[in-house]
Amino acid sequence: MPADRVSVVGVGCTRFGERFDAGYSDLVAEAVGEALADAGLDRRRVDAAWLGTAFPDAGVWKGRSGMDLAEATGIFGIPITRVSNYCATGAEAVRGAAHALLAGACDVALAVGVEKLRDRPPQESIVGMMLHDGHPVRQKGFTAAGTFAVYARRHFHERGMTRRDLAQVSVKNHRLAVDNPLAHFRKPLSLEEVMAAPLVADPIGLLDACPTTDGAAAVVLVRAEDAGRYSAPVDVAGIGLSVSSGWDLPFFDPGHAFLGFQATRDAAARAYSQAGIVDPRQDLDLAEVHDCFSIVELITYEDLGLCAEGEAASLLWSGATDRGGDVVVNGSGGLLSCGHPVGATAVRMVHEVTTQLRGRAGRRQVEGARRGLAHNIGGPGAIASVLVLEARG
Amino acid sequence: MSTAPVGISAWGVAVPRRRLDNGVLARAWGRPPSPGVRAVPGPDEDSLTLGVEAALGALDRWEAASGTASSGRAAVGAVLLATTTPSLAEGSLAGLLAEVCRLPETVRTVDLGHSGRGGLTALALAADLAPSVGPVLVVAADTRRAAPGSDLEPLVGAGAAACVVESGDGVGWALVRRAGRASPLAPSWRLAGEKHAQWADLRFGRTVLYGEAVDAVLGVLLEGVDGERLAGIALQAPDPGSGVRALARAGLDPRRHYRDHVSPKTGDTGCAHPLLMAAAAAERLETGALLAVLAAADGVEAVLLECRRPTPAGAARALARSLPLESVVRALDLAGEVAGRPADPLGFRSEVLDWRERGPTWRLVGTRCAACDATFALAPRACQRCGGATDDRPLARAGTVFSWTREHYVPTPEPPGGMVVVDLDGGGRLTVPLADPEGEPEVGDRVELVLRRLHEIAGRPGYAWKARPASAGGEGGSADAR
Repeated sequence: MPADRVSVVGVGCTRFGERFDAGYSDLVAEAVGEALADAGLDRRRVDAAWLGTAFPDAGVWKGRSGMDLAEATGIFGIPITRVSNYCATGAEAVRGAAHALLAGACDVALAVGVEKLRDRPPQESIVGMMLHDGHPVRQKGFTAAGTFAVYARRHFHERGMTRRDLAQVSVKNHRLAVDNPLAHFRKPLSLEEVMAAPLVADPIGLLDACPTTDGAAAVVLVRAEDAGRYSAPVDVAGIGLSVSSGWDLPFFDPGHAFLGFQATRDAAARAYSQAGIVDPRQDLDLAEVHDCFSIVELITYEDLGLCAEGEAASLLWSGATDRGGDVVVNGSGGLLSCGHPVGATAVRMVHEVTTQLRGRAGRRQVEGARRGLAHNIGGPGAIASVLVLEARG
Repeated sequence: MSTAPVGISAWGVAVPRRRLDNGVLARAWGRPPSPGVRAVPGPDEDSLTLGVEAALGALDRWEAASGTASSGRAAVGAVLLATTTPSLAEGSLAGLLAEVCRLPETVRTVDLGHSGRGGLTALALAADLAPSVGPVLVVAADTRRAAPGSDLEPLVGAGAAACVVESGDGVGWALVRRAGRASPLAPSWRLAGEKHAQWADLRFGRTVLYGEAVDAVLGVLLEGVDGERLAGIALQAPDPGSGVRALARAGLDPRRHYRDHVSPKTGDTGCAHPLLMAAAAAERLETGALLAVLAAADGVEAVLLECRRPTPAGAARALARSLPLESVVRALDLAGEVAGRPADPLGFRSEVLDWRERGPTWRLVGTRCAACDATFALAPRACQRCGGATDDRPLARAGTVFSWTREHYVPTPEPPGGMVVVDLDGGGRLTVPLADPEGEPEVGDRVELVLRRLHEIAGRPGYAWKARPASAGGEGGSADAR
């Protein structure tokens, strides 16, 4: 057991969806309660916590600070840090907890991700913020879908990719989500249905895009050397996070080709090196990747080294990333089906990979899963996180 | 002692691409058909944006012709902007126009308002100013509107014209004579705060306010002029018949002399119209030709121009490029006449930011890395590739679409709103909204940058660059824009 590792010893995750029944604090309390119960710990045993929420302003200013975790759970009197790094926010919470454990600053750490977006209509949450706030001139009128649509357009132009390839990602992930009781959508879709959906930002259609979703997830982490005391610990074998571009740079510097995300490549290189992953397609059994839009899953195949450049679509159609394939990608249904409560997503992925590596994923179980990763892309592809998890024994 | 001629060295024009056929209008209102087509401003066009487009066309052609690309603009001593339809009632638009055109900070900026003959008045004033302050940029722009269904509606349009006026032997069209006549009344007017122009008593307006004034001024302007050298008269008229009759009364042959290549394609563009007609006429004429230009509104302003060298204006091309509007409802919606349509979103707006970022936002000045030559359309203080020091670099206004999308869920007057990633000629990349869309863009499409209204927040128009499908190549215009 390498000395510089931490282990996941408890996980919790709310049902994702339009949670009109639950406010921000309700979601936090539910996820944290479940994670502590899974670890068999009383809340007083937690001695530091990280709270990831990307867009507190989408709701009632919950998630601006660590106090919103304390108030929801009754965990008072310890350091709680609110973190934010766009869609890698949840991974940032896990990373903060892990590094504090390794530094010896705490012994039991809690990492929580939560986002409450549906106290407003979808057009007024993240889309509304991008339209009303931010720079008054620069990129005005551009939404998240649009920023990834220009990547899709270049893949169409350079690589001969088509809307059919995008749609097949959505078909795969929606089919896999049928077996995930926590997913926002659990209904299979046909290729025709996906392709017939209205366009959001050409060539991205409505069913190529993740929905607006509420949810929270939490994990309890300890140093690997302490994990033997808990039931079914899973080791965090690699943590990579990289900020490799900016909000404006890709759209104002002709050096950007819109074919891949350098941030994913940088984060993966770091995480793979720590985890000893040499051939990702051989060494990984499953991957939860950031399919906020179907094009991003395809691009990520290449960035994570699951296939060579230009071969993403053929990898998809070969079935290698589907259930029963070499590396099951988004066996949970991904963001396309689970939804994307931004701060919660990476923590939800850690929950999913942990569940798989514990062999407790029910009908979604990847046979003999030993290693899996969680990947997120933040901002317009500028930030990425890669967490590699490994079963024990 | 011979004094250097004063006159026009370069022309520029702007005509909204959206056009509404008067036949469509007549069918909608159940009225007898009237001939012609009107130029209708898009939801993001106004007098300033049209004026900027015309001004940039004139400055580009001026610098290209005189080979002073680097110093041309820096020598401009004054800019005169005439409009009766300004987007600000208080606050200089000429100052913003000067900024966008990269004129020097020392330039005198003058805003001329109210008068329908303001464009030609500005030209006459510029001729007085040029010998003392140096080259003067004259810009006239209007977006005239009349009440839906009114008699005036088929006659009013939108457009802009600009010219560079200087003294020296290099001028293209020398200003050889002027005449004018003041009037306390105008044939048409618009009340403060109103959108729609109105007409006075029609026959009184045509015969007295227009006809008698034009007759008097034409007599002075053309006295002793050799009829053979008079190539044409660009005469603003409240309706096509009035102009023709005025020439006939002056003893001229309207078929030979009446030079109106513009009105049937734009409608009357207000204070821009005489200069627009003059530019369209001038670009067809040769050295030695005489061109009379008359603005007739509240009184008459007139100049006689003599061609010393042919000067292109890009008018024929601007008039030809059109996006026909198929319905009056669409046209009214674009004009903001349809109630209940979503207004511009509220949003963050900051004068501080407008000021600090005026380089990249308005002057279109980016930065270039001295070490690795990377060009950024933003203004980073250090190169974002190699960390080297950067200096200012003016960006081109022409480029190629690298990628694009259309945002179907973003509220806009003309959904879906296009966004294009444009790689600019000579370096730099911009990601901006697509203006005047003509169907789906394609990777590799040529586009040109145009200043447009991006939004209106708290009552203030926000101006920024957008990209639109490029005008056809060839003379002047955008192909040589820098």
